Amino acid sequence: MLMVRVGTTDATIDYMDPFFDAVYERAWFEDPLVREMVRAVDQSEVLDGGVIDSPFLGLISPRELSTGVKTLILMRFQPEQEYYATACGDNCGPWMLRIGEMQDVHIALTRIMRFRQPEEAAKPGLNLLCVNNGQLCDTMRDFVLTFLRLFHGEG
Amino acid sequence: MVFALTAPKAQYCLEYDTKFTLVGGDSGTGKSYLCELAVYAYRKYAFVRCYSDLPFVSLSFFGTNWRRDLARVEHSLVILDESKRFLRTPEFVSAALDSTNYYILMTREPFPQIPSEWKRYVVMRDGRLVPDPNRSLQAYLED
Repeated sequence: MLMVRVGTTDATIDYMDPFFDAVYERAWFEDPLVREMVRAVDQSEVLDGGVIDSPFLGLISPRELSTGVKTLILMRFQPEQEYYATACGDNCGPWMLRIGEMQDVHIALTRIMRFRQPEEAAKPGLNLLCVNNGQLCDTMRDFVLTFLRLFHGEG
Repeated sequence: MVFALTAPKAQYCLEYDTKFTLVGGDSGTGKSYLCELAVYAYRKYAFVRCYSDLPFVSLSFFGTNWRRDLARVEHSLVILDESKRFLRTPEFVSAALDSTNYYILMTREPFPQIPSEWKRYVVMRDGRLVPDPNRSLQAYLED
């Protein structure tokens, strides 16, 4: 399940770039989901040995991936940590939901992540837990309302 | 005003006219690389060509005491991203508002202290800034 904190704590990891650079392993890039996320978010291809082929920068190392993709990969392989997901673009949101379907993961948000488009505001199955108040959000509309209440201190 | 960078694999041309230019949008659009190139330009590395209407300072200008560092900068362009934690503090926004500088900030923080008429932007693949096309949250609340 995707667990979301509105706000941050001292334990929230907000330094995903250096953290990822320090801990990533070559084997992570053999994971099909990682390859899919790198392709979708950074428009880049994972080659053998963890080398990345970026259409913009050429051959790069995992250290040069976007903060968003690094955060997604950390969520996949270091799920016990809580990550500052405000630093990730909305294009990471659906992937966070997908990782949350596979395992328990934790993020902290100080803005509303558009996990789904407004056309899907009432679509059930978001399955996101706000850890501040234990509220389970089944739709994006639930999440927006819960976030606004918590962010503005209305419990 | 304009801040432009040209490097072998990327170019950016950022036009700004308000005190704060907040740059967010999707991941993977090149914001971090832009900041990296700005650091190289600030250090006058020859492989980055830079045009700036204002003197500018980049991430690497700021050390452990950002208040002291920021106080040394006047009538300049300050380019920062979220790797500097102080950017997310109300104290920074307050100090920036009181300064004579312009700010291009790569962040998705909501910044309630910053007047809402200062629009958010995203970086396009061709290196331009365009207004963030994201619709308001109201769209999630309408039937």
